[in-house]
Amino acid sequence: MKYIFPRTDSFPGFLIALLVFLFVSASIPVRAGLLEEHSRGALSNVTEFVFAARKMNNTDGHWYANIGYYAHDPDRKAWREGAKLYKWNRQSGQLQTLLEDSRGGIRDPQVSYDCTRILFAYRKGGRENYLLHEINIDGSGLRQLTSGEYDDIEPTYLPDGGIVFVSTRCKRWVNCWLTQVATLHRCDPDGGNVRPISSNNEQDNTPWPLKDGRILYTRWEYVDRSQVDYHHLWSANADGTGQMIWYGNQHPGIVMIDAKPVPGSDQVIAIFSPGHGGREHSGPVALVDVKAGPDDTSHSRKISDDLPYRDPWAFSGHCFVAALDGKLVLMDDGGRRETIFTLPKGDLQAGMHLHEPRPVASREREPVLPSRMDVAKSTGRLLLADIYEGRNMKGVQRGQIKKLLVLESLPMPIHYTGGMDPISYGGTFTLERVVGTVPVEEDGSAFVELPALRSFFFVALDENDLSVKRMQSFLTVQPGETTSCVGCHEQRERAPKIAYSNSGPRAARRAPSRVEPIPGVPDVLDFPRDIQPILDEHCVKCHGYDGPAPGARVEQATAKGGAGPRAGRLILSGDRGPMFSHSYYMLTVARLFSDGRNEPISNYSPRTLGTGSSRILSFVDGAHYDVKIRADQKRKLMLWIETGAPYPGTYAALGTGMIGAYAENQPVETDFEWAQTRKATAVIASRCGSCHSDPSRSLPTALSDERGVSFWRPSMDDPRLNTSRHIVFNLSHPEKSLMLLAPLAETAGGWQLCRDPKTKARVVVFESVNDPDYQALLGMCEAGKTRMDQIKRFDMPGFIPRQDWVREMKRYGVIAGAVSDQKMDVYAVEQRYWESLWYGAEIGKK
Amino acid sequence: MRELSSLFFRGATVPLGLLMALLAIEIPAMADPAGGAPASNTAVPWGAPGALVLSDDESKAYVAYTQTERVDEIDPGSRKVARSFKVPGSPLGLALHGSDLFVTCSGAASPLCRVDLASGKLKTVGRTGHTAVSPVFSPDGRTLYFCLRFENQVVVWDVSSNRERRRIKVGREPVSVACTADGAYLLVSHHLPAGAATASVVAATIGVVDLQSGSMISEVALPNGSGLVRDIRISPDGRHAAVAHNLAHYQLPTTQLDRGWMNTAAVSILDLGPRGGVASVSSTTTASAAQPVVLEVTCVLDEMDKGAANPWAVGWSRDGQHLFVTHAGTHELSRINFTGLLEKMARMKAGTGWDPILPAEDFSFLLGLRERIPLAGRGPRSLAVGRTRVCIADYFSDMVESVGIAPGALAAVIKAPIREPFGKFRAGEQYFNDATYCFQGWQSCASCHSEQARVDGLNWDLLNDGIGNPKNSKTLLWSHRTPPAMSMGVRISAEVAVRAGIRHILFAIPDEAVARPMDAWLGSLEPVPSPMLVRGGLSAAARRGRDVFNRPLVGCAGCHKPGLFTDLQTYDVGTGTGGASGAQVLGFDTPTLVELWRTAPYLHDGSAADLRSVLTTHNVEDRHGHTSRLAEQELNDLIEYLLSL
Repeated sequence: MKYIFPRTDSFPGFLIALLVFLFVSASIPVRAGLLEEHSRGALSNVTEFVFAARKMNNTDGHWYANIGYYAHDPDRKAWREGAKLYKWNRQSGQLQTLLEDSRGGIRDPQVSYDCTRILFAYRKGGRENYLLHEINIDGSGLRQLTSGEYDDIEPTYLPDGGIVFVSTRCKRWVNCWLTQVATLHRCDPDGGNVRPISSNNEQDNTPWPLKDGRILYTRWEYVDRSQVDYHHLWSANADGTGQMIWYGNQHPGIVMIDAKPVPGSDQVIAIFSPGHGGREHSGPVALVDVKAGPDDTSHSRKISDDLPYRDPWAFSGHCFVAALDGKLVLMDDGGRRETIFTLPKGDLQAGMHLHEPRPVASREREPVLPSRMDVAKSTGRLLLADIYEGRNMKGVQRGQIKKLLVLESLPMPIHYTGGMDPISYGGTFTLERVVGTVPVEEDGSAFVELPALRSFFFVALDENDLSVKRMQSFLTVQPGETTSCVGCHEQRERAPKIAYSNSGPRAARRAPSRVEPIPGVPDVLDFPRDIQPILDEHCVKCHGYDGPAPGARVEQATAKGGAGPRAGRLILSGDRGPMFSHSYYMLTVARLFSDGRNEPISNYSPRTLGTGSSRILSFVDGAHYDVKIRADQKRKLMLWIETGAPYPGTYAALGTGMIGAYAENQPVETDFEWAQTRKATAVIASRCGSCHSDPSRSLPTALSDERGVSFWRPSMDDPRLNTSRHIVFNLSHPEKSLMLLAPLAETAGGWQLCRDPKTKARVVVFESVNDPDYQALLGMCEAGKTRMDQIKRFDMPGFIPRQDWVREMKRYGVIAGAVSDQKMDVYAVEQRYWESLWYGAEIGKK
Repeated sequence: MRELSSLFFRGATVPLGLLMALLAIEIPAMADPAGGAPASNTAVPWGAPGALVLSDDESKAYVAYTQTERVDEIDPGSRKVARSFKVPGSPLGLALHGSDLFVTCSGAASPLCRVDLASGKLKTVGRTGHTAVSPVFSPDGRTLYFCLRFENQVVVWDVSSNRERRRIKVGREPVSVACTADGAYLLVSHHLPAGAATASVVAATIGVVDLQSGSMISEVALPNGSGLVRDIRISPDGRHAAVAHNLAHYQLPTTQLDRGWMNTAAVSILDLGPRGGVASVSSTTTASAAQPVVLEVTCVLDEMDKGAANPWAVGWSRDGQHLFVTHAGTHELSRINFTGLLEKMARMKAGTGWDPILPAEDFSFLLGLRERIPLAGRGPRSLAVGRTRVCIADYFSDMVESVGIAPGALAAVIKAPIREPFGKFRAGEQYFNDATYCFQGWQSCASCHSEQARVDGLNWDLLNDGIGNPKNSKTLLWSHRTPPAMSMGVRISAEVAVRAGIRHILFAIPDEAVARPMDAWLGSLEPVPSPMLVRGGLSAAARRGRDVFNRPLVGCAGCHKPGLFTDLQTYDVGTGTGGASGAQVLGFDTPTLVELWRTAPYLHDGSAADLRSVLTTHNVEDRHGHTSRLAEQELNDLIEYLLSL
């Protein structure tokens, strides 16, 4: 099933979507008869519906952006004021207001199994956050279940009497947006004993019990793959054990959400919100069948048109309702639909929409599954039966894999934009912790004890500690859980392999392996701190700016592959560009390390990602001009690659220390209006423009000028990367900016790299540093350095984290209010933050 | 039925939409043998239909009620019992040829009855061996074959002379037999794997009997983990045989059930070559004169998140287009498009990497080729295929249901029989066999302990005593009388073990309404008399062996005290192996010895294939009784005694 839908994560895309919606919405044919027909069948026992009416966030189209506040502006809310909880009788036409709050928010009503109560999320007027509430079906007895300062939303009654919901109690932010994350939690019927059952770094949404007693929910995740493509359906037991993919995770695109079982069939009804999802997770209604496995899309079927439906409910395999704008729409699986209710005019005029329609009808309680966890334990166990069994393992010989590198995807305390900047350039958004290694037995089995409720993923390593296969998702164990899997990317539609022999997993015959830490390496690597010194010691002599040879000799030397500066056109100096260091940028764009990028691709072939295919490792073992780094340095370098090759090792680096940064996808801290930059821009036009008119060879006209290159998904094949702002401007040593060295005559100390585009002959643009135009360019770079010294990057002495980061760390109780921001060790604070989220951790004891 | 349904969780009840009866057969009270109408509104005891045959023209169905001594002739059209035949024992098997109906009955010397349907006269034509089941006629109708389940034999019965012509030794617990179209071979389902559970492959086999030589000439190995084998039936064209069985992933610790982690349900197809003499429908025959039967494919019958536990009865449509399998654990009928299956296999074989067991791992393999038809009754253990319909008898519901042959047809139901409420014993048996109580329907207690709570011959790595130390499935006979439970006695009683099993093996919340009847039923189980007994008593050798057993210097009776044959204590008899931490496991609960003859392999890990090895190679230091000094004759006598218990 393919959807063609404009991306809604960009403003033009959203605008187009809105226009399409308005156009199509206006032309909805209302067909009579469907209600009458189903009233005799699937709806015969349903006369009443409950639903919420409320306003949407009209300035942010992300499906999850409807709770909390924005990272850079706590006064800006994602929610809107004014909501009602309605009950409507389709036979009498009576519309009963069960609850109304002109400044509050009401969402996610769910009717109890016995049809006596409604569970919902309620943000009381004047309050900031949603909490779980219950009200009797007749509107009496409103009572608050949960409490606190975090948002509790999307609650669902569980067959065991408890409630599962998603909550921002997980204390983390979307890794690519400015709003908070809510993940799966559960609590007792009275709202007590709240505990997380998910460790996701991104959103979990709309949990609902499956007929077999498990929970079906939406898990958005991106471990070294595209941030806008993996939000599919997962299942878990009601205690959070047994988390596994249910449908779609190998197929990028579509937010599969609002999924609920269809009575009388094995199917599930869901919203397939196109692309990265629409506002309030709207989209076509689809039926999903997993009989062919989670990766077979031929068994999902769109049953509606492409209007932005929400919150579908199935009465049978042929009768459904869904919310659409201010309407309650009845539909069948043959494309027929009929609006059976529309909100009162006053609500519509107030901008309200109809949300989460649920029938007032008793339903069977799903089977209760026994808990497989033990709250008293702090760890769980994972048994991997045979790592060699799985998809896309071609070429991996039995016995080659010796150990598993255990990595942890680390929660993010704040984020400001849709990109990953400056954590990486088009790669990881998320910092990854090196937890350690565990052995893999000869038969491919592994048995490992893991701390509970943290997001782990694995890299299979060979005898040289090189990556063979990399997991691009994460795994969580609950306390006391023993979970098991077949192998590496096991076939989800398959039973375990029928063994030809009777030998069970060898690893199971011994005690589970504790993850063995790797000595001498920081658990969270930081490029300037941990990797740059290696480059400085071994590489920068040739791949730097300094060297005896003038430009001509540079070329000669380069042709011979000899000494630098800029040998092989590669700069590995740690000098700062506007966003990254030059070395970090060059390692990335020269593809000297291999990571998943921000691409909608997963389950790569063996030895495609990580150290198993990173070219830089072939240059450090002595074969490249006798460059041989020490074992400890190599270990550090390899683990930096395996952890996604990040630039900073701290999230405090987000949104600060950059000239030309981004907030909510808009450029900020730009230099376009600086006097020095305006001057330089004119010089670039006049002195460089004639040769650099071809867009592929264009030059940035300012420190912040991306020239149209995406800041969050740049193509590594884009020729403009050769002249990117990230490499041509040197804010550590402005005079060493390529923007200055290239046009400057050798005789003046330049590199004289510029060539006539027609004759290819070397040309001199600036004979002397005294050329006023040279000075104008230098002035812009120096102004950049000056500004950088003021705002300070994470690796600069005196770095001060953004107040937003500090605010959240205080809110999370990680730092006290009295702590001086000036003296803050952001690395240590973040370690405390992560540890505070560990199962059983109590803030203050650390 | 209502009272039964209410005891199960809701997901197991039958959708109302299915209750559109095309045919309803009500099992009546005992009818007048002359064919009078059943007495309506009179509750009758549980009948437990275990065998069913249809007349060639579908005008009559014959149902054997295993908990009675009765076989009914039912007219599907009128839903009435036309006649009822009293038989001298529990009827276990039926075979029909023309107007000749044979009935095998239970017992150590099973009566074989013959009914002349024309006259209605029933005659006991012989007393055969232990537990005669699954009678089938040769294609020419002149010979009847049936299994002696507990004597590991197949009987060749001459129909015209009414005499037993021959007994043929086969493998462990033959439960179903089929005769090839040319009358030259028998295929025999061996219910359980033979040999040690620690062997590299532990799987039940299909015996191939050459009727000319009168011997089992080969065994077709089912995939590793195959067991609890049930019906085997040959396709109308004679080229294929289908056999239903469990397929256990016993090598893996029992951490989960999801996606068939423990037990799966399977049907295996055997390639018989062109011996049916019918035009070939398969271009992939690999059977040969040297190897007349080969495993063609094993298909898993479960779906990814919906088990189809305890496959049992098998039948073919008369045109061979459809294969039917009942699921006694989830109360369903699978209708498999067999022609489509062959075509799919041919396509796959034309590619690379074909392996007959690949479809046994692929829950989507039968997608589009198989319909799962919910049944109204519980425990469908027998079926008969007519020209237009499949009739199914539900063991626990006393129902006969009908499903049209054509795709899309639903089960035709059928109102509940008027029957006495289940006693707690029988309710317990039903729960024990019912997989709808299990998470996603993957298995029931009977999926490892067989329908009568005995063994499956496999080692399972339960987590109750750590991980990495698999134990052989124990019989549950007398488990409630011999606490503690489990090999290492980790459960203080069988009652505790029952509830732990529901929680940790069925992954369901123990419900006392289920567990108590299960306790009651398990506690009521009595041993089946050993086939080693002579006219119900010990043989001379066994009597001598009893003396050896009781000899203080040998020491058997010290721990295996006569009576329960256990002193309920734990001992280190030197048979322990490494546990989860690599440490030696020392103590094992002393098991009862009752029914040792049917509970091989032996010792906690099933490493001893037979009792001789228990007493010799596995008892090197005489820590498990002083057996090393026994003379060969004494050892043989002791073994005979032990196998007679």
